[in-house]
Amino acid sequence: MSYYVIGIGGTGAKCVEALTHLCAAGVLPPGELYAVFVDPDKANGSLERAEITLQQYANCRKIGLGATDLFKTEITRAKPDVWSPFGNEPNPRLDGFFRYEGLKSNEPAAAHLFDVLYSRDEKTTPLEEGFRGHPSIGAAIMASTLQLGADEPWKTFRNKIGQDLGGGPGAKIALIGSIFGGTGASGIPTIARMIREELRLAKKSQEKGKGEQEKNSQAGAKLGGILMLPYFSFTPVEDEKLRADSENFLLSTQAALKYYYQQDDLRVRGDQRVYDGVYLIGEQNLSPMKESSVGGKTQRNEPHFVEIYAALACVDFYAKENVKEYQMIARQAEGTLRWNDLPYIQGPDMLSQKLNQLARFAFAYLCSYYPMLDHINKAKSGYRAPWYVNFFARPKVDLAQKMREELLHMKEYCESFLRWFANIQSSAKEIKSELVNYSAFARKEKKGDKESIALLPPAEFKTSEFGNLTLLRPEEDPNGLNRLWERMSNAKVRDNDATDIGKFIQALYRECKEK
Amino acid sequence: MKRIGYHIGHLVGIIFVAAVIYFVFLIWLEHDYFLSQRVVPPAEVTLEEWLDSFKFWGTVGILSALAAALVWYILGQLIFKINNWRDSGKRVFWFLLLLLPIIAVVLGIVFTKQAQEGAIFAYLFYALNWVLCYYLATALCSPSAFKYTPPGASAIRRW
Repeated sequence: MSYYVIGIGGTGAKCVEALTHLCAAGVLPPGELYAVFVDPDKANGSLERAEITLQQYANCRKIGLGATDLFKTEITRAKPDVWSPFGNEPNPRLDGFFRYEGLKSNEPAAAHLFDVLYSRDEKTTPLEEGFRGHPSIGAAIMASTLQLGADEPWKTFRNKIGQDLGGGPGAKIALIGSIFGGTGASGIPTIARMIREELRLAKKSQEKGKGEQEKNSQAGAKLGGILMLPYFSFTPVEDEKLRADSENFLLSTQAALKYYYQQDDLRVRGDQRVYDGVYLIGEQNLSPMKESSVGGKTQRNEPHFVEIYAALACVDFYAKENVKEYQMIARQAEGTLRWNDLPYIQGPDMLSQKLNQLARFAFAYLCSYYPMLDHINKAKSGYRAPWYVNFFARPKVDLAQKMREELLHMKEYCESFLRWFANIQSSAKEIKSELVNYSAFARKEKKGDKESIALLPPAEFKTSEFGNLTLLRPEEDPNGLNRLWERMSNAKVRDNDATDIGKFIQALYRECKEK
Repeated sequence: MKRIGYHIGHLVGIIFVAAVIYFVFLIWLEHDYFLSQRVVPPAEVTLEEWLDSFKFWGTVGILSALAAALVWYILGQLIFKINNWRDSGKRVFWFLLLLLPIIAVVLGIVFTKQAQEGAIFAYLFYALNWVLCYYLATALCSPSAFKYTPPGASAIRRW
């Protein structure tokens, strides 16, 4: 099966980031994932982080890990991976976009209508940092620019879906974005309708000339909507007239949902349906974000546990044959978040096991294996690590070169994952979270009045906590890393599809599984 | 259970190496075959007495090498923990344990009855026995995490 994810706006990008980490842990069902971002603010910090994570994921995939759940899903980033309705226009503004000056002289009625619909600030504020929480601007711009098949990455996106439908494995497309901000709220309905229309046309053309049996047996395409309701808040940015204001999030959400309902945009049944599955995800306790920004690089909101829910909604949509109803779940206890609260098709225990395995792997790699390899590379004392002799020295791996490439890429991803994992725990401010024991590898740092999560230097990782990185799992004794070292010293990998480095990584990941 | 079997296997391996050195080298090759034909004991000592003395100190040497190998195994398995990569290797400890059989060899050289001819072979055998016993036992049966700590072990150990 081919899976597609379209992350719309900053929140959409963050959810794709969470999905990428789930892919690394082997949570997705078998298949390939194709990722596209939609954001007028290409410099958005959250988007940048998601792109970096995807790049790190791709770098790790290139290592050649063979048959393992680690980085199991192949993720293809669209080219370009971010689509902006403004293309490469340097200083986009709403009035410029609709040639307002020309309208005033040529079509005064239309210009007057424009004046009625948009305030002066809305017309003249530069939009290179997004729609600033104003979906009315975004909706107009999205609707007039988005055409599947007209330019990249949509052209390739459309072709790929065409291939998936025409004898291919079938396709599942998930749209993720917030409906309380600017880009997501305006982009989701527009893009969903456009894709649905495309799917209808594709289906019709596929069906022409086919027998009834073929029609029924052909792989289909399904569209899922993962709509994020408010879950964070921030202090409004001073000195900005046109800006998103989290005080309005609930009102905006109410208005958006009402609009979708009236437009029948969330219909999941019948021929006129837009989606095949809809997931609405939010959190009643809005977590205050550390940075307030209208957009650009400074809009780099920390990962939040709600984004795991969004990513799991994606997984649910991909994994299930039919998502018939609107899905509804809630935490078992209102004020506490536990692994059991996270919905996963194979059960929450399996989810925590998989993420625990990845966390252990990243932890061990960063504080033990990578530093050891670095030391061996400099001091040539390979005898100290039997696994080095088995996986590196005997196959005559050029360690110096690998330290600059594959092993470094893996280190970068592990850092990225642990930072994200720690944020998942620390993001729950109003409720008690019992997911991740992040103090083993990260700490809160205060810069002025802002607090953020920073990874500890590897030498300061609390190695005795290796066996207890996720909370409420069976506790392990403090010598977990020692036992891992012992197992690694005897580990063997017989996998012709794995490279030499891939065999080492595969073995380490396998041995990090909870025993 | 698998873990216990693993330890027993290694401990039996260490004892097996010592037993081979003792029975094949010390008793058969050195005592019965080689030294009994080449050593000329002093006038007041019979050859049998001299060979008994050699056997005693040879046994002490092998037992001390066996003890050193067992201590190395216990240290590697129960005492040394590699929760930090800096704690790996421990070659210094491996060399320090060598002192134990070396002391036994020195004692053997000092206390073995003097001979008119061939004593040098006995001294060489003492050294050979403890080297073989300690080195082979640790190179073949060290705990997994330290299995290549004995110099050259990575060339002979493939499990």
